[in-house]
Amino acid sequence: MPPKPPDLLQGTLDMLILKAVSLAPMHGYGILLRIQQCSRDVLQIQQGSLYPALYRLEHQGLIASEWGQSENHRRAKFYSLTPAGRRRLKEERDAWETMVSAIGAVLDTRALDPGS
Amino acid sequence: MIGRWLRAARLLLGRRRFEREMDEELAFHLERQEEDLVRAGVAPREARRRARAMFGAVDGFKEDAREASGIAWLDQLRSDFAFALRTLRRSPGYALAAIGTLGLGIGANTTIFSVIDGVLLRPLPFPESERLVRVGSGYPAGALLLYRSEARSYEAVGTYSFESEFNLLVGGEPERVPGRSVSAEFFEVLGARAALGRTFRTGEDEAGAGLVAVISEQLWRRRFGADPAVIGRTLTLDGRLREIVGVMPRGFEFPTSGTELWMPLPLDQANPTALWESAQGTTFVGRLRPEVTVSMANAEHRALITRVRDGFPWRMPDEFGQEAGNRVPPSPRRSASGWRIGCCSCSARSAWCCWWRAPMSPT
Repeated sequence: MPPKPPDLLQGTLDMLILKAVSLAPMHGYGILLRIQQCSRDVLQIQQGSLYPALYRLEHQGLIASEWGQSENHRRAKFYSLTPAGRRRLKEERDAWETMVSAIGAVLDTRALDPGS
Repeated sequence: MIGRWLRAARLLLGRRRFEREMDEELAFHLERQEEDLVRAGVAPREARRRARAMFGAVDGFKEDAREASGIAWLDQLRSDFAFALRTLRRSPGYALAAIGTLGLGIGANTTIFSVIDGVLLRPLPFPESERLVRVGSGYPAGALLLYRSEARSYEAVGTYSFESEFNLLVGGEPERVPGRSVSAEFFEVLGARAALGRTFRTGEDEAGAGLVAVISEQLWRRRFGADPAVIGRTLTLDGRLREIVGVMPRGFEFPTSGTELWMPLPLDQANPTALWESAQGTTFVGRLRPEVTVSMANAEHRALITRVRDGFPWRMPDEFGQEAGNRVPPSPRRSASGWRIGCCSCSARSAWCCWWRAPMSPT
């Protein structure tokens, strides 16, 4: 049995959504595909939980939505990044990288040289 | 922050639309997932089932989405409201007492506020009324002659007499009508214009001028049948025939509500006794020049008091005019209360007529 894919870290879904819509407006299903594809299917999102997150981000003014036409000519709701969302994305990304390097540094620590 | 409130308000108004669009959005998602599964070789029926399973509990996510959009409180509010109604219905006596208390409280507050608003807050209904000031505490009409020639603080100063009633006779039918004797500048000071005809001209308050009167819109309707040709007609006031030269617009009741007549003061310079008699006491009203502050006007007023005292044809006590009330009232920054001008009958409706908002000094 393959190992269970890792759960998404609490709070990182917002950052991933912001990143996904930062390049071009996208509908919910597109955001889901993009996150899964870019993570080579490592990150699995409970599909339904995407929508409360989208609505929350919109309520916070970080993304904006607009109805448009999907690739197969159906009506779909497209999300795009607002300027406030762009700022938030940068902040979260910086914070994320700081944390990753800090945790990495901890994990990389070797046994202390007994002589020192 | 404001944007967020706006969005919430839009959601409130478009609650139905919110639900419809959310359903449409989720349906789109499920269809796309289903199509992708079919394309990958899953049987249609199985694809449908699996798409739903992958999505999860739709209703739960919808509820979470509502909450995330800041509209869940609306549903809570509705159920709270229903609960409150049910509770009130269970104990009608308590409900009545509560409603009665609230009603009385709100009613009393509204009443008090409307009086305060009319009396203290709302400015007089005249152009640039913040420049209108009452001058002093009541002087004999003779002092006006001095103010006309000496006072520099005002664009114009006028006076009006204490409230009095006149015997009006029109077409043989007598009536007692409240009116005022005013100086020729009175209307000019207020910036009030006649609706029909004119107000008084310079010199019409001097001896030998023709006997004229200005009437209120109300009197014009009641006694003259709103006759548009009323200008030039005559009425008899205290036995003297006067020509009507003007009709004031509706609502003009200065200085007190119910005032229906204005006629020129007799400023007979050949008769100084009548001019300076205290029975002729009048209230002075001035329109400050734009650059003059209340304190400047007051300083000038204090300086002119002794000259008024010496202007009497008989010797006045040295302390004449020295009482504290004899001044141009200070701006409301120093005294929050309005100031009262000669008015005996004060009703809530006409409260603004009896009280003047103390003028703001322009500095």
